[in-house]
Amino acid sequence: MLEIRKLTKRFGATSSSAPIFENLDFVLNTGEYCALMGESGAGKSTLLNIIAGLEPPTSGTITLEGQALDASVDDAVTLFRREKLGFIFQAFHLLPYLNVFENIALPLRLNRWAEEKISGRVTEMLAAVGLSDKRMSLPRELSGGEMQRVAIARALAHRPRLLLADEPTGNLDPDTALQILDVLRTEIRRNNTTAIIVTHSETAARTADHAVMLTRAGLKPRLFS
Amino acid sequence: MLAKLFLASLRANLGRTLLALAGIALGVALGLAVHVINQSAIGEMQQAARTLSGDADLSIRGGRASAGGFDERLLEMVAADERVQMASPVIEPDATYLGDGSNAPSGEALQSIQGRRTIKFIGVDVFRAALLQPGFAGEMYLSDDRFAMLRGDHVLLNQAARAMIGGGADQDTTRKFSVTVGGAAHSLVVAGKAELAGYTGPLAIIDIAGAQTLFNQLGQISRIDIRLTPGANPAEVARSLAAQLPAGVVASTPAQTDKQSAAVSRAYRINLTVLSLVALFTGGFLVFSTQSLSVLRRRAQFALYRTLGVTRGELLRALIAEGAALGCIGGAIGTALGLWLATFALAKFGGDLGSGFFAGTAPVAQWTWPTLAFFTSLGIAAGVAGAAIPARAAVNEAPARAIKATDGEGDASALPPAWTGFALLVLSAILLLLPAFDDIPWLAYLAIAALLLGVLALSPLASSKIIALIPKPKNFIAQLSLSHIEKSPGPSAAGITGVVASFSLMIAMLIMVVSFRSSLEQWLVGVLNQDLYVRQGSGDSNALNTSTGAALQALSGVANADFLRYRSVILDSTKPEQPPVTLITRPLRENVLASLSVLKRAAPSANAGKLPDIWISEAVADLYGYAPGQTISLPLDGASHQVFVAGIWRDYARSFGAMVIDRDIYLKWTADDKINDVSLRLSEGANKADVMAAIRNLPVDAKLDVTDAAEIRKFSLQAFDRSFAVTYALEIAAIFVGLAGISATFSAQAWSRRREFGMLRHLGVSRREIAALLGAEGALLGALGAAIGLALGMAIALILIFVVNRESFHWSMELHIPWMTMAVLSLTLVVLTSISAVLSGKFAMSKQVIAAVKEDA
Repeated sequence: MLEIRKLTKRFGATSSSAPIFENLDFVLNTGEYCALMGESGAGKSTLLNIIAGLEPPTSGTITLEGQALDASVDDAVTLFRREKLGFIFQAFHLLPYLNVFENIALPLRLNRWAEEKISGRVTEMLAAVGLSDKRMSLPRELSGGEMQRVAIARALAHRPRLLLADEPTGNLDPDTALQILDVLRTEIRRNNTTAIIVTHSETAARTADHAVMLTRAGLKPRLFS
Repeated sequence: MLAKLFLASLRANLGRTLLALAGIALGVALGLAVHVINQSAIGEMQQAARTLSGDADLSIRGGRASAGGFDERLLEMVAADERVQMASPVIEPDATYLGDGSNAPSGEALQSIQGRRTIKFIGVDVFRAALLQPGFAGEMYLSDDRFAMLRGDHVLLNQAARAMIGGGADQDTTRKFSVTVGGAAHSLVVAGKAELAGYTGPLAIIDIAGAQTLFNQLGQISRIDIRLTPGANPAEVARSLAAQLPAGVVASTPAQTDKQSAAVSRAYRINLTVLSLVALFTGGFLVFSTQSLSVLRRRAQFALYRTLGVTRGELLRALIAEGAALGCIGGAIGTALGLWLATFALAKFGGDLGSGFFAGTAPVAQWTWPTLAFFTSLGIAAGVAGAAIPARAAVNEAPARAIKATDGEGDASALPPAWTGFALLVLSAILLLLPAFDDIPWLAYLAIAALLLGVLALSPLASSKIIALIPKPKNFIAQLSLSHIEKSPGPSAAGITGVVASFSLMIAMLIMVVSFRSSLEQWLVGVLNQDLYVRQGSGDSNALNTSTGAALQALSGVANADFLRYRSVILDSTKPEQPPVTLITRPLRENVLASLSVLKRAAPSANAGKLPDIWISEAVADLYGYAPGQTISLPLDGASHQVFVAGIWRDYARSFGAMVIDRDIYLKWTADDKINDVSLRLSEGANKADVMAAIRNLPVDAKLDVTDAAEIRKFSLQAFDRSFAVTYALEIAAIFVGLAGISATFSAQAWSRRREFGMLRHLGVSRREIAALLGAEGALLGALGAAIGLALGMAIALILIFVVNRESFHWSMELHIPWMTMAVLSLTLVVLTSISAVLSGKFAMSKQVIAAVKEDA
C-alpha cells in the first residue's frame, strides 16, 4: 500500500514560496493501478519524483508497504528505489549500447540476482511483452512500440512493489499506444504491482482502475463518462 | 547566420572550448619558444662568426681553427690572385688562464671560473683587420703608444676575459696575466678592450705574429679572410681557389661558413623543435575529440539545418571554420606566450637548452614576423585538422536518421574508417624505406605521423577487440562500463586519441632515451677503461708537451701512460659546409681497439698494401660513404696520406665524425708531438689518491687536471641527463594536453549521456555508483590508451632509435626497454584518466540528470 500524507512541495525552500501542491493526501492499495492526470505544470512529474525519493518534499510523508521514505538519506532511498520501484519513461531510455536482454536484465543485475535466475526471468518477461525473437537486438534496431515494451519488461522484471510510469505512450501512435497499455495493464495485474501512470491521454487513463486529477486544490477523482 | 549559430555553440561549451584553446596555445607556445631560443642562440653564434670574418667575401679554412692550421705561405698565393683585393690571415688558438702572482684567483673565485679557464685567442694582422674586420678594432688604453698591439705580448680583452682575470680597473695599463700554452707559462699585458658581437666567452685579440710565437705555430695560420675586387663572384673564386689549395684546406663563402656553424647543432635543434611540436600535435587531437563529441551532440541540430536547406558544403565549411577559429585564437595566444617564454628563458637561463651546443651564450630573442605567422598558422592547421574529420562525419550522415538520434547514441564515430588506418600503416612502412632528405630524417618523422594516425584510426577496432578479450566482470558497474566502451568504441576512442598520441610519444622517447643512456653508459665504460685521465685546461691547443708526458709516465704508481692528440681535419674539400672531422691519435694496441666499441672490421687480408690502419666512427661512414676495407686519403698539414679503413667504431662524442690512427704513424707524418689527454693505468696496489696528488704537484707551469674515470663517466651521464631534461618537460606538457582531452571527453559525455545517467538514478543506481561507473570507464579508457600507446610507443621507439637517431646524429645504439618504468607510467595514466573522468563527469552525479529523463529525445 502506498500512503501519502500532508505532502507539500514549494518552489523555494522557504514557507513563503509558492506551492506546487499542498497538503496532498492519497492512498493506493497494493495491486491498484491509478492514472494521475493534470494540466502541464501541475506538478505530476514532481509528485512522481517525490514518491520515488528523487526529490525531497517540502513537508509531509510517504510510506510504501509500511516503510517510510526519507529522501534526505540518499543511499537508503536509492536502495529502496532499486528494490521496490519500477519506472517507465515517455522516451523509453534504453541503454543504446546494451541489447534487449541486457536492458531488461539491468534492474536484476543491480539487485544482484544470480545469472541463471536473471536468464529465466528475462526470458519470461520477453515472452510476456512479445519480444522473444528480439532478445539480442540493439535498441536502434527496434520500433518505438518495441522499445517501450522492452522498457515495460525492464520496469517489472525485478517484481517491484510500485511502478511509476510517466507518459509511457506519449511518443507512440494511438494504435501502438493501445497495445502498450494493454501489455502494461496485463503485466501489472500478473505481478500484482501497485502502479501510477502519469498521462494526458484519457484513453490511457481509462485503462487504469481509477484516475485522479492533480490541481492546485489537491488530488481529485477524475471520472469518465 | 550560420557563423552566429556555430560561434554560439563554441560559447555554449565554453569549458571545453577553452580547454581546446589551451591545448593549441600550449603547443604553439612550446614549439615557438624552443624555435626562438635555438634560433637566437645559433644567430648569436653566426653573428660571432660573421664578426670574426668581418666584411670578408671568402674564407680559406683548414680543419677546426685552433687545431688544424695550414702553411702561411698560402697567404701569398691567395693574395697574388688578381680577384683578391685584400687577404687577412687569422690564427685562433686557445690558452688556459693561469692568473698571476698578485691577482691569481683562489677559493670561490677559482671555483667559479674553473669551468671557463680557457681563453680564446684571435691573432690578426692589426692593420688589415682594421680594414676588413672592424669588429676587432676595440679600444686601446695605451693611447700614447699606437704600436703597443704590435708587441707580441699585448692583448685586447673582451668583457668575459676581463671578468675572468678580475682585480683591475679597465684603464689599468699595467695589468698583466698569465696563460699556459703547451705546458709553458706566458705573461701578457692588457692593452685595451674589444668586444666581438655575439661571442660571450673569454676572448683575447692579439697580433698574429705574437700569437704564432706564443702558441708555437710559427709559419702556421688557421684562416685567411678575403675581400674580393668589386664584380668578382665569390662562389666562382672559391671554386678556382679550391683547385690550388692543399689537401684538407677549403675555400668557403660566408653563407657556407654560416651553414657549417649551424650544421653542428642542426639535427639537435630540428629534433627538439619537432619534439616541442608534439604538444601541438596533441592539441590537434584535443580539438578533434572536443569537436567529435560536439558534432555527435549536435547531430539532430545539423539534420535540422540540412532539412531547412543548408547544403553539405555550407555545413562542412561552418564546422571547419569552428576549428579554424579555435586554432586561430589558440595560435595567436600561443604565439604571444611562446615569445614571452623564449624571452624569459633566454634572459634567465641563456641560449642553451641543455645540449651544451650553446653553453655560455646569452642571446636576446631573435624572431621574424614570418616565423610568428608560421607558428600561428600551425595553430590554425591543428584546429582545422582536428575539426575536419568530425565535420565530414557530420555532413555525411543522413538527416532523416540523425534528426531522430538521441545524444551520444550509438557508435556514430567521427573517426575515419579502419581501412584508412591500414593504408596509413602501409604508407608509414614505405616512408621508412626511403633515405633521409637534406640530412634530416623528415621522411622518418612523416612515417611516425602516418603510423600514429594509422593506429589511431584503428583504435576503435582495436578497443573492441581488446575489450572482447576481457572476461565479463561480476561487478555490475564494471559490466556496464565495459559494455559501453565495447559497443560504442567510436566516441570513446575519439576521446582517447590525444592521450594515446602523447603517451605513445612519451613511451617512444623513454625507450629511446633509456636505450641511448644504457648504450652511452656501456660505451663510456669501454672508452674510459683506464684509471686516471690527465689534461691541462680545455681547448685543442692546450696541449701538454712530451716532457710532461714523460714525467707522468715516470710517476710512482703509474703502470702505463697513453698519449692522445686531437686534430681537426676536413676530409672532403668539396663540402665546405660540412663540419670538420676529429682525428684522434693514440697508441692502437689490441686492448685499445677493444675499448673502442668496434662495430665492423675489415678482413686484415684486405689490406694488401700494408697501409696504416684508420678506424672510422659511424658518422664518418655515413657522411663520407667510407666502408671497412677501403683505402682513403687523410689530409694532414697540407699533405695527403693513404690509409686503410680497418673498421667502424661507435662514437657518442662527435656526431660529425671521428677517426683513430696510431700515434706512432702520426708522429712519422707530422712534427706534432703535443698531447691533449693522457690516460693512465695504475700499477697493482697503487693508491689512486696518492697518484692524483703527485700529478697535481708535478713541477709544471700550469696545474694539471686529473680526473678519475668514474668521475668522467658520472659527469658525462649528468650532461646527458641535462640535455634530455627539456625533452622530459615537453613530454609532460604533451601528456597534460592529452589528459585535458580525456577530461573534455568525459565532461562532454556526462552531458550527452545525461538521460542515461538520469534513468540509472531512477533505477536505483546511487551517485557513488555513477562516480564508480565513470571512474571505471575512465580507467578502462586509460588502460586501452596505455595498451595502444605502449604498442605504438614501442614501434615509434624503433623508428627513433634505428632511423631518426641514425640519420640525425649518425650513431647506433642497443635497444633497452624499461619495462618497470613503462608499467608505472601506464598505471599512472590509468589512475589519472580515472580521476579525470570522475572529476570531469560531475554533471552525471548532479540533480539535473534526474530531470533530463523528461527531455524529449
